[in-house]
Amino acid sequence: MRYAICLLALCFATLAVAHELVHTISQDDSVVITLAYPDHGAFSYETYEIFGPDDASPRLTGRTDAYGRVKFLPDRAGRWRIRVFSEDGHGADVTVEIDRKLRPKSTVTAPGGRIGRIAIGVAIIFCVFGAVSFFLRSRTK
Amino acid sequence: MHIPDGFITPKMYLPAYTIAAGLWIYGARRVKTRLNERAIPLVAVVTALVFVLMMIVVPLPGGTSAHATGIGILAVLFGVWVSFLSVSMVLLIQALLFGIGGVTALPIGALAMGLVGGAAALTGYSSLHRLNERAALFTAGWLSVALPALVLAAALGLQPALAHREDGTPLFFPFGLEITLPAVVLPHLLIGIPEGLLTVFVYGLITRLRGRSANGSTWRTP
Repeated sequence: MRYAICLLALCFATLAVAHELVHTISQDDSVVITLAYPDHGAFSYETYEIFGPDDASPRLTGRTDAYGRVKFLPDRAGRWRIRVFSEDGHGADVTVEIDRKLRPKSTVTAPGGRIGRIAIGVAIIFCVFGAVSFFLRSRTK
Repeated sequence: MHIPDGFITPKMYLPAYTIAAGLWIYGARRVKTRLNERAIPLVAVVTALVFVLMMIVVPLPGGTSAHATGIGILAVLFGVWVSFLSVSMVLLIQALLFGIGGVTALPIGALAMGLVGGAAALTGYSSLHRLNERAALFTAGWLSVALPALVLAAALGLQPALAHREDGTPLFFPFGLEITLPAVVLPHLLIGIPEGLLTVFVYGLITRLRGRSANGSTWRTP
């Protein structure tokens, strides 16, 4: 009887181990994508989906953190795709090329010089309308 | 609003490109034959203003952002077709050179903002300008933001129904109409107020500086 109880206790102990969740704590180099509005406001707490190379469905889903960051640890080389959405239609579709060392092939900084870009855009618009005006005048002459 | 690439299914953007292309050709022919040539420098200035307004982002409560458009000014001054063509050009420059908005979403933005926004603004202005010029201009500005927001919210909200996996997971923009309509339209009803005021101010400034037009009538393309 004693052996039977011991055996039963051992069986239950094994079952308890099966339900235990072990964890480790370590520090790894993850890929970090930071999303922000042009006024530098963080794209925080918005939905994201991460697709590994050739993945048909997302490998990881979640929400950006308070600073608008998406972090993931790639486990294979190739093109990783990160899609981020807000309910009001803002978002981005970013591709990150991961090399064999599982690091991004290149890092990207947010484009600066917004005033310079606006000036370029305005110049292009005036060039287009200048060309239209020239074309119309040459036709009427 | 600038919708990025990857948000809209080809089932929507390919037909949108077909419709927009036809309307670009029709609009260009109409503008070429009917636009007062002396108005072109002013069209250029107002189009540049639209571009600059769309690039200046204002943060909104709740962590999102918005920008003015100036489409009401374009439509009231020059008509719907100039509005459609100018807004399309602005969106193309922003998408190709600056990555603001996607090339795949371009026809949807152009149709919603340039055509629907321009037509709504001009209809609002034409209906009210005999009663009160300023109220008509304000309405034009407000409608040029509110109606495109409704169209874009519908375009985004239809994505999960149009393109999804077998298990129902959306392939493109993931939120349905029940989320996009309030999330997109409601803030734009408020954004329309400064847009309306801007339309009143800029239209007043232009007509004060240049008169109603070079020949005393209107610059608008019929």
